[in-house]
Order: sequence, then C-alpha cells, then structure tokens
Amino acid sequence: MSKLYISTTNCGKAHESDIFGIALSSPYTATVSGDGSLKLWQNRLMDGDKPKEHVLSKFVHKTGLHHVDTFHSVEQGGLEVFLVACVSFSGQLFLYSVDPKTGTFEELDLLSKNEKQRSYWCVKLFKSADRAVSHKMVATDVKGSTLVWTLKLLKPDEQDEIQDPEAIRERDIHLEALGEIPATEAKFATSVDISVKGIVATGFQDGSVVVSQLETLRAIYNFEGFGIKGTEESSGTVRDVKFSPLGGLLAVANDSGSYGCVTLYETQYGERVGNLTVPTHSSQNSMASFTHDGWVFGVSFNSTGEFLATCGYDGKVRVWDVKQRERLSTLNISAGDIEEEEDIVSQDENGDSLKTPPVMGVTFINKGVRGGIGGDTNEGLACVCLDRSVRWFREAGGV
Amino acid sequence: MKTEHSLTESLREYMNHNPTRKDLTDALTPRTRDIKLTKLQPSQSLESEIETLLSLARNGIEQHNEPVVLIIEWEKRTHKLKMNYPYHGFETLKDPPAMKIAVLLSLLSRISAIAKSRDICTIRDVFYLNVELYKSQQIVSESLRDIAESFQLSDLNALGIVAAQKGLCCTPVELSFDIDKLILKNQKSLVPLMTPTTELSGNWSLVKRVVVLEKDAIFSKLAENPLINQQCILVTGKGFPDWLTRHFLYKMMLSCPPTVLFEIYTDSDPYGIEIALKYIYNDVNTVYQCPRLVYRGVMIQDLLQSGDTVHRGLQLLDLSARDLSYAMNLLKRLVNTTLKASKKRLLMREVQRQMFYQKKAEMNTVHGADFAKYLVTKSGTT
Repeated sequence: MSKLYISTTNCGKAHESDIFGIALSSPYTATVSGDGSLKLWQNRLMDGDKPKEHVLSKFVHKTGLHHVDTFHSVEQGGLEVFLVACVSFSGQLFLYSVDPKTGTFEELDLLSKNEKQRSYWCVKLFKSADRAVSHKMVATDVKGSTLVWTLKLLKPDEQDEIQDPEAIRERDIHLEALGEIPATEAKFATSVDISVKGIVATGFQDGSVVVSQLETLRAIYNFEGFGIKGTEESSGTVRDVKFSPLGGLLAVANDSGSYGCVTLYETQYGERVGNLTVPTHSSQNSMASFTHDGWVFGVSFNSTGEFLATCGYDGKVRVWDVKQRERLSTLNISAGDIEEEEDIVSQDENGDSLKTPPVMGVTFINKGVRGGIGGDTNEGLACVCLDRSVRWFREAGGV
Repeated sequence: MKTEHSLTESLREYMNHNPTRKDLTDALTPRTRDIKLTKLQPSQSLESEIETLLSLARNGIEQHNEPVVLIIEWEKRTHKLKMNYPYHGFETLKDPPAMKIAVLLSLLSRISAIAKSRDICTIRDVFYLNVELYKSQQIVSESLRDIAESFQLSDLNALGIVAAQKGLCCTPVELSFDIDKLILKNQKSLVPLMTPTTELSGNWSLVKRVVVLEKDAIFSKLAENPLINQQCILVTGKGFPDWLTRHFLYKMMLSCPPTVLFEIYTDSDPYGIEIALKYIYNDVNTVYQCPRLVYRGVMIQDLLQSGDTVHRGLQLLDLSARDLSYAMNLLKRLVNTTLKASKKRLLMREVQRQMFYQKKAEMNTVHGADFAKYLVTKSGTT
C-alpha cells in the first residue's frame, strides 16, 4: 500500500529566520521562528486565497522562539477557546489566548513567580475529550524536570452536582500546578508529550526517554536509545516523543550519528515494538538502519493512530503504516516548489544551499480542518522547513 | 612643660596637657604629609609628575620624619583610597596598607624609569622585577590600573606598560608601519605594538582576504599551506582575543582597500560565537572592533553537509548544560547590541541552531579535519 500526498498550498519566506516549530489545531496552523515571532496561519482558505493574506502575527521575544503548541476547544455552553504556548530561546514560556473571531492576542500571565524563574525548553498543551479528565499543560526545563499543570478554562462552578450543560459559565483561564517530575540527574529534557491515559513521556539529550505516571509523578519506564553510538556516547539525542491518539503507543525520534531513527514503544508494558526503517541497499550504508538520512525533528500521528508522519534533516517527510511499520509515502521537499517565485529561498545569506531544505517539523491535519477540495474527506500534512517555508499537503484521491 | 632633659613627653605628661580624649588623640597623631594622585596636568609630563610625588614621599619619610598619606582619587568611583605609611593611628584596619603602598610606590618608580628610557615593557616584565613584593601578576595589573585611573589616563599604554602580546599574524606581503618598523612576510609573528597614529601599509593588491582564526593550531597549519599563505593575511587571538589583536584588526581595517575581505572562523559553539562577537563589536571603545569582519563559520551545517557520509555528524558533541546557559545569556546580550542587523541576525541564527540542535563542534574537525580545504571551498561560494 502506498499513499500519495499532493501540495495544496505553501508559503515561502513565512518568517524572516529559521522556523523551528509547528503546531496545528482547528482554526490555525501555528509556526514559531528564530526571528522571535509567532504566526497563526488560517486553516480555512478559499480558492485562490494566499496564506500570507490570512495570517495573524505576534512578535513575542527578540531572542527567538523554538517550541509551540496550540489548544483549541469548544467548552460547554459554546465557549470557544484557542490557546498558543511557545518558548523563547531565553527560556521563557509564553501563553496567549487568541480570539478566532477578531484575531486579537491576549497574553496570559498564568505562571507563578517561581515558575517564571525556570528556563523552559519544550511545551505541550493537552486537550482532554473526556469531561471527567481536565486539560493539561506540560513543559520541560533545561535542567531536565518535567512540570505538569492542570489547565482550567472556566470559573469553578460552585454547585458542581447540579450542572446545567447549557449554562454559559464565565471564562477564567488559569493553571493549577500538579507537580514536577524531576530528572534523576541534570540532563537536558528536549521533548515531552502527554497521553490520554495519563502518562507523560520526557525525552532527553542523552538518548533516554522517561515515561512517568501523571497520578504519582513517578517514572514507570526508562527507554534507552538504540541508535549507533558515536565515538562519544552522545549521538542519541531524542528530538521528539509522541503518544498515539489512544495512548497505546509511544513514538520516539532520536539521533543515530547523523541519521535519525524512530522507535515505537508499547506503553502498557513498556515493550519496544520496533523501528521504522527504510531499506538500505546501497553499498555505502550497508549497516545502517534508519528512518531518515538526517536527524528526525518531528513525528506526528494521524487522528486514528494508524499512520505516523516523520520529518528530518534530509529534507523529506515520510508517512508510515504504524501496524506494519512500513513506509507508505515519502515527500521530497525542494526549495523550488514554493508557489510564489519571489519567495523561494534556495540559498541563505551565507551562500549555503537550501535546495533540499531540512524539515524542522511536521504535523498531520485532521479531516475537515483545512477545507478546500478534498479537505473534508482526506487527511493532510503540514510541515515547516529551513528555507523559511510552511507547506500544506492533503492525501490524494477520494475527491 | 617642655624640659631639656626629655625630648619626648611621657604619657602622663601628655595626659596632663590634654585632658580630653580628643585632645589626646590629636596630640598623639603625628603631622602627616598628604600625597595625592590626581589627574595629570597637561603641562606636566608623567615622568616629572611621578618624580615630584616620589621625592615628596622620600623627603617626608627620610628628612622630616613625617608619615606619608598616599591618597588615590578616582574620577569614576566615589570613594578614595587613603593609605598611611608608616602606619599610625588606631588599628581599625584589617591589614595595614604597607604592602599596597610599597607596591604602588615601587610601580611609580618603575613607570618613571620606563618613561625616562622612552621604552615600553609588559606587565609581566614589571612583575618579574620584584616577584617577592608583587606576589602575583594580578596585583601588578590591578595596581597599575589604579594608578592609570587616578592619573585619568585612558589605558595602561600611556604608562608605557602594555599587556604581553598574545595574538599572532602571518602575512603574504611585508607590512610596514610607524617609522621603519616591519612585519615580515610569510612568517608567524606577534601582533605588533602600535601607537594611535600607526598606519599599516603594504602591497594590498596581493592580499585577497584577512582571515581571523580562533585557534592557534589551525593558524599554524594554514600559515604553512601555500594555497592560503600566498593570498591571505592570517590572524589569531588564541581563543578570546586580547585588546591588542582587536586593535590590530581595527588598524588593518582602516588601511586595507575595500576589495580585501575580512572573515572570521571560530569553533561551532557558543564560545566561538562570543569570540566572533568580541572581534566584530564592542561597546567600550570603537578602536577595538572590526565591523568589517564577516562571520563565516564554522557553521554547524557545514559539518552536517560534508560529503563523507560514514563519519558525518559523528564529530559533533552534545551541548552541555553550561554551554546552553552560556548560549542563552549570549543570545540575550546579542539582541541588545547595536550591531548591524544583518550581522546580528547571522550570529543569532547560529546560536539558535546550536541550541536547537543541541550540538557543537570543533573547527578542526570540518572537512575531514582539513581546514585549508574547507577555507578554499568557503571562499569559492562568495
């Protein structure tokens, strides 16, 4: 089986500097860049609309931004909440609430004084579909700790028992600290994710992944990297961790020298399920088994958990069948495929070629998010690349 | 009640004459001679000013039996330093300032000797003249700075004392400067000492580039490579550059025609970026910066894109926690500099990439540890 993805639209020179992060939820695709700004690209575009004409831009911090996550929820009573969290290179965590109707940003000051003193690296917002389970925010800091908060959107109801689902409750976004999962030793926590089953996975620079229980804030599994080790035992950096939508699987992207590996783990018993590898028949790479011929910067499950998208420094986005662990599709990104010719960046200011730009982040797009032809019936993909572009794709066929 | 048979009064006599505690203290306090180190008058040369100060001190102690009080006033600091010698008064101080005053006086006499001989010497030279007294070179340099500041001189050079030369240069053409001073070609030499009026001249048409290198080892290698040493002036400050090397580049920038490219290559780590920044920009004094320098590498992507697929990326090291916090602070400082926007963006981008990739690398490892080849390829792309 193979899948085919076709480009729906793209946008070159989306930021003035490298784009380091992408996140997507219903109204917007969010990107953050080294130029310090956060951009929200409207997902529903009419035919002929250009992405650059429908973008909200917010300058956040002059040291640049690198991780971003979005949160979109329609709470009971029809209250629509769209939140963006991003982290700057100076280690600060920023939270914004965006009104999708007016496009206005409201900076939320939700962290306590002590919490603000930490240097953060990665942030994730978790939307719970279960009313009994609250929304969450998790973030890692550079010392290796993982911090967990409950994300409350509404003013606490005094009479919780006699809840009227139609009653409109007042919006009151706040965080309640749940606790901290400290690292056993000070090491850089590069990535984090949280599952519907109440499990948190933290990836570290040294190649290990610690899976902890949210209830107890205690580690239950510790996965070590399986990549080839370099001369220094240091080339296994974990770059992304992601739980499948039902929480049964954990995908870990880590370095293996200059290659990138993606390993799948089963979360209930902590077993390694297997690696996603491309067959290598070439004489040069006889020993290597890797997912990308370059570091893997991002992984993303689709909404059913059947497919996993990976992206890497080799300028490719790959889509995998999770059950078979087979590659279904490879998208080769080229700087030249940007629609607007004047927005093509095939060379940076140093004269370094960006013809095959490294892909810094990828995310699946659920059905019905992007709109346009086939948008309601097919899933799609969005990615950001080092040529300062954002690209959107959808699966071909079925239109 | 002064009598002939006793030259000094007894304590009882003192107490009789001075009934109050204050009077007694006053009577027992010797007459002192205040010697002030202040701004140098334009009419006065350094040499004669110091001569005056020293002879005042000498006369006071030797002939008039008066203790000396050395007062150092600084323009920029609010407090002033007051030191008695020989020490008198109540022992309120932790250490009597004898040592400090001895160091200062001995340095003053050294400075005047240097000024007399119209010579210059390094801090290290001064230190070795009396190791027992000075104890450490740091004490010498701190005391010299105190003296220079109290005379309100811009730097130590005005005292005829310079920091030891650290930087090295190697040029394909002979560079002449001042009167009949020369930097010989194709020879590693120390960055020369310069006066404010120094101008470098040479046959610039043979020079294509000025290449600044972080590492001494690479400098040495390149200096022996005929591909490079025939057309590039090589400069290294051996890690973090000293003021002299930076000043040399500034002079070079003024003297070189615009066709000559200025490039800097450092390690691909936050310290490398900091070093590059130090050469290109400083907010203290513009004569120590060289804004014409372009940061060219080593970029982390140069290492990732090298052709050798087997070893590619293995020379990268993990960024340590210390590197990371250093990089964060560097970024914060970098955004607040008044550096030209394009240069700032380039340096920022490199730091951001190092942080995001969490990797660093040594410049020696690029291109299969062949830096000369790397340099030639890099120059081809401009």
